[in-house]
Amino acid sequence: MLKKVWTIAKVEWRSTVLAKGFLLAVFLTPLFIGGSALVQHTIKERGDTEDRKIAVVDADGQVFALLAEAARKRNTEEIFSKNGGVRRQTEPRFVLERVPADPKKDLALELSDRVRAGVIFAYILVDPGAAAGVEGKRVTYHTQTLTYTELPRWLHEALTAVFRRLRLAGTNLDPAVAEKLLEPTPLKWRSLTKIDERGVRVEEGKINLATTFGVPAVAMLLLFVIVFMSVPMLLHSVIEEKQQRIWEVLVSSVSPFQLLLGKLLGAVMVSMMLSMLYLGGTVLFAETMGVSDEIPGSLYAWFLLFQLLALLIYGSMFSAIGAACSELRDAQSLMVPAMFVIIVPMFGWVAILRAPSSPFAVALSLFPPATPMLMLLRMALPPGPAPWEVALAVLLTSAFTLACVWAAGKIFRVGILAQGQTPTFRKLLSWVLAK
Amino acid sequence: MSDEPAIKLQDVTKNYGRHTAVDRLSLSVPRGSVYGFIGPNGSGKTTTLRVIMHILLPDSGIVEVLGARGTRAANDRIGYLPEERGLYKKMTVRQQLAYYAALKGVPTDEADREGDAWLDRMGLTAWAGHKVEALSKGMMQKIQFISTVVSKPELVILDEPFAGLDPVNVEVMRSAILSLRENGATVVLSTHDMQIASEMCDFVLMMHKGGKVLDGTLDSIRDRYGADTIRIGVNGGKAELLAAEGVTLVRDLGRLQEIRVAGDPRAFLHALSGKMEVRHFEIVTPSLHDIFLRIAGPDA
Repeated sequence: MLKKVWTIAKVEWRSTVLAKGFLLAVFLTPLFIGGSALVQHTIKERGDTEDRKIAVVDADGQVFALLAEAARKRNTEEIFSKNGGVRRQTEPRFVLERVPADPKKDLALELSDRVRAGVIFAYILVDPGAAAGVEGKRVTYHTQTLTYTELPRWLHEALTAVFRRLRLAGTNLDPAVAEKLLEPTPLKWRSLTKIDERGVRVEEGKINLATTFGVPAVAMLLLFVIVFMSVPMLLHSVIEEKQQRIWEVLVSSVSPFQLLLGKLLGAVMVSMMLSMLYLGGTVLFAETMGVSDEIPGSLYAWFLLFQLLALLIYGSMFSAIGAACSELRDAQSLMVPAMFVIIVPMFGWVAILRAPSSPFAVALSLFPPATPMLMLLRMALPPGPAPWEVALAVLLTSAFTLACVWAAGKIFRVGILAQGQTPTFRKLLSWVLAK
Repeated sequence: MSDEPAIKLQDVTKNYGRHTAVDRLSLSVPRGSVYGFIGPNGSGKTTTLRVIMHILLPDSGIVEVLGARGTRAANDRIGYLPEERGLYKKMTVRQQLAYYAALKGVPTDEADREGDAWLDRMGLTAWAGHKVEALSKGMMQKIQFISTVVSKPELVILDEPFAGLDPVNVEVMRSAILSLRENGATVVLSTHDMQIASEMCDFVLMMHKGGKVLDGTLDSIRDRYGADTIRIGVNGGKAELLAAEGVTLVRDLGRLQEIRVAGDPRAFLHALSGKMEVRHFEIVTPSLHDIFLRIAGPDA
């Protein structure tokens, strides 16, 4: 039996990996992902350096000078990167323009028209008494580019500092002392102290937040990409064989279940080949970036285990749908609920990234169709799930995988010889439950 | 060679919902014979062959193939050519043959050897390295046949093997099938072409509406139906013949009439010649087609 399964798997693997479309996808996917990251980096480095002009209506006349001083400091010191020793502007300058308050003019309308005409980017109105903290007096920010948040964020920080300075000036405190008293407390992130396996005390160390969040996200997305580069091939292969009437010849030599296993094994081989390529590339990249120590070796093993489980779960679903349909377009209606199950991990992964041990995270990562992606995500995120959670996840998902393969085998048995109308889910269920 | 039949079916029934495709069918296929399933489209031939291959499971009855009862255990020793042909278009001819043989447990080198011999015989050697999609329909039919026999099966089941072939390729296929029998294989073929069946088959099973209406050797069938049909030329028309004593059926063939009589044909001739001039008188052996029409009626 196994020899025939292996024979089918080899043919499936060969026909997939030699297809031009697959080869293109293998090489274009990392290029596309890498390319988009490069584009984003380039845009960040070079893209947005256009001056932002801001009109300031300062009724009291106290705020503008201090705010302009803060802008000058920012524009000369804080908007440059020093990559490779070369100083390059990476952010726009904020250029302030003083507009005298004039009760006879409708300044709000006039400045709004200037914003709409593109002469200025935004304007702020500082009410008289706002700096002194008079109740009801405020500063308002006006723009038509609401999605640009860097400017209001800077204005908020800068105005807070300016107002604090103006208010302190009205007290008897020495400005230098006052400044010292109000200096923000620095908070450094450091790792926990521990005793390592040799019994040696390991002191706190620096934390790389980029890898802390990046490694889990990349691991999960990589798993997603690999699985969904392999699994749709199964659907196409099954439907193609059905359309070309190859099924009857095949099931005269092997049982439908052997055929399904052969196809799944072929898909596993394809995806393992992709893993070798992409994980190899990831290791090389991590080595180059000097962060390879921050990826635990065991994560690779878990990645492969969850990849296998995901492939068998989704592969069974796609194969069963292919067997039940005569045409690719017929498969679309059955794919909708299957796709819903598949994208469950995508609904929850950002929330899990923020709170990996929350009840929501634990529950969703124990939902078998989502476990491969989400438990891998949690395992890559410190502090990681409890051992019992991992054990339970593997147990539940393994059982679910077996159930999926078994049900797909039952659907295969009937579906591959069925022609005509696409079966309903009720019909598929009756095929699964039939003796 | 074993005396056990290659295939034995006992009271096999297969339903599709409320439709009975095969109805309490029993048969026995002797080893080393060419056994023909004949009958019109929809008579249950293909379903029966699928049941024999265990592609479909019967609702009731016993299926025994090459000594294996109710299992797929013998399937590696069976070559099956389904009615709906299927080949991988992107594979080369040789890869195709090797794959189908491997699924029967035959090693690649053995499959290549046997496949090359068949390709040579069918005049397709030059195409061995070509992709299937480059072949003509007739060539594909031949490749499909070779993929059925490349594993050197003991039992070969061919569902409508002549469908879609031109007369030249029908002869090539007929010769290839008969050579299988010469090499000791048992051949079961289904066809709705009764002429081919009568020329090739040692045994015939006639199906109609899922049931068996006739089976046996060709001679035994003709013996049962062969002595009552006469082709006759007379100076009179159909009405006069129908009025003659003992005539049960008259079929106008144009210059001649074909009639069926009850009783001895010679006595009928003697009686008829006293009433009208008889120009032509011939006792004919009925074809399978005629016998089938007689059994199944005009709705067949």
